[in-house]
Amino acid sequence: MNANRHPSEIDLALYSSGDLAAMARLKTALHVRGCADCKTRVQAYRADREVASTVALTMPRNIDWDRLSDEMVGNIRVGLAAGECVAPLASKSQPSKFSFGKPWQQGLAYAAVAFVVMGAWWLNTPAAELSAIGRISRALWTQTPVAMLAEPGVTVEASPGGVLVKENGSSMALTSPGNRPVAVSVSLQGSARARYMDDDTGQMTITTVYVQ
Amino acid sequence: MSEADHLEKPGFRPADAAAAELQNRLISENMRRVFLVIYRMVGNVADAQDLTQEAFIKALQRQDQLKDPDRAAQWLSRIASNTAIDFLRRHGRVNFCEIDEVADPLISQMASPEQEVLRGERKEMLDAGLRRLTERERTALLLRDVEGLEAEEVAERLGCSKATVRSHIANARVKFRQYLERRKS
Repeated sequence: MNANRHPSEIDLALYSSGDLAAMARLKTALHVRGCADCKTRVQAYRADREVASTVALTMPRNIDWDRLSDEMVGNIRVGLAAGECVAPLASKSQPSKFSFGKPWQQGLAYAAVAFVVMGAWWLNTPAAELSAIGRISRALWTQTPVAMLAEPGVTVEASPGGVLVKENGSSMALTSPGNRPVAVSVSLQGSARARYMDDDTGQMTITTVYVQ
Repeated sequence: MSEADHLEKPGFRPADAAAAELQNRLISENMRRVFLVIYRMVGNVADAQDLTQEAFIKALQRQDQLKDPDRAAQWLSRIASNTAIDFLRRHGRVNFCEIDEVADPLISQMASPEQEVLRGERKEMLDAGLRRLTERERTALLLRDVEGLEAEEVAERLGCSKATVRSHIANARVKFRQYLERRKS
């Protein structure tokens, strides 16, 4: 575009509101300053902006604004009231904002708590019980009879066959008759228990040996 | 009954008196303008009514986000125009990023000047001029010339480039000017 050539209608329309890019705006300004026709066009576009704005904000004649606004305000009030009713339910259904963060962080937190609890329990447990727990754990792991040392020289042993007490080289066994399944258990307080059921009578026999 | 009276009825309990006062003021001062801008965008009363209500409910529910009450009109206007733009997009009625042909579209669309003159007043005639614009042109023109947004802001709201928005605005102005000139002649 040179100074003698008229800008396009598009450029004049944009120029009227300052929406042309900088270089095009400068060229158009130079032209409009010396061209009465284009100056008139720009003024017309500026006037049109006012007209369009006024028209857009004028209520069309076919709309009953009083009735419509009453209706809308009523509906807005109902909408707000409904929102207030729903809001507590919505907030309850949302997940808690408190979070440890990522899964690995949560795992780390749980592990730390478990470590503290286990450490406190370990420190408050007598050495004899800890030793018994160690033996029980090993026995469970290797699936061998559980032996418990109650006092020096005395051993109580629980096996699927029954309960065996050993002292100074001699032993006493309380065995279950036949090959009946026997449930055996030992306690950390120094006792062993064997329990089985008689198939014929249905009677339950429980044998408990306490070591003192 | 005024708009503010409605909000003082029993059953309406805003958090406090100041909030209630702000709500009343927002509605009474802005409802007409918000409705008209939305009406011009969507082109019919029923949708404009629904969208105006939706915009006010959204705004009043987020009232605590309004930091500066002096800018309440702009804040509300933004919510309203976004609500209308979303509606137009949702219904597939308009793609703001396409550009319309500007080459004298009035010839094919326009009824004879005599017929339109018979219909009446200047206001009606101008109103018809706006209706002749496409939805994207009319929306861009409303946001730029009625809402007073800069072209960058209009582009942001419509989700397209500034160049595209400039085209919409320019096309709208040229079509509107051509329409008025035809009517005068």
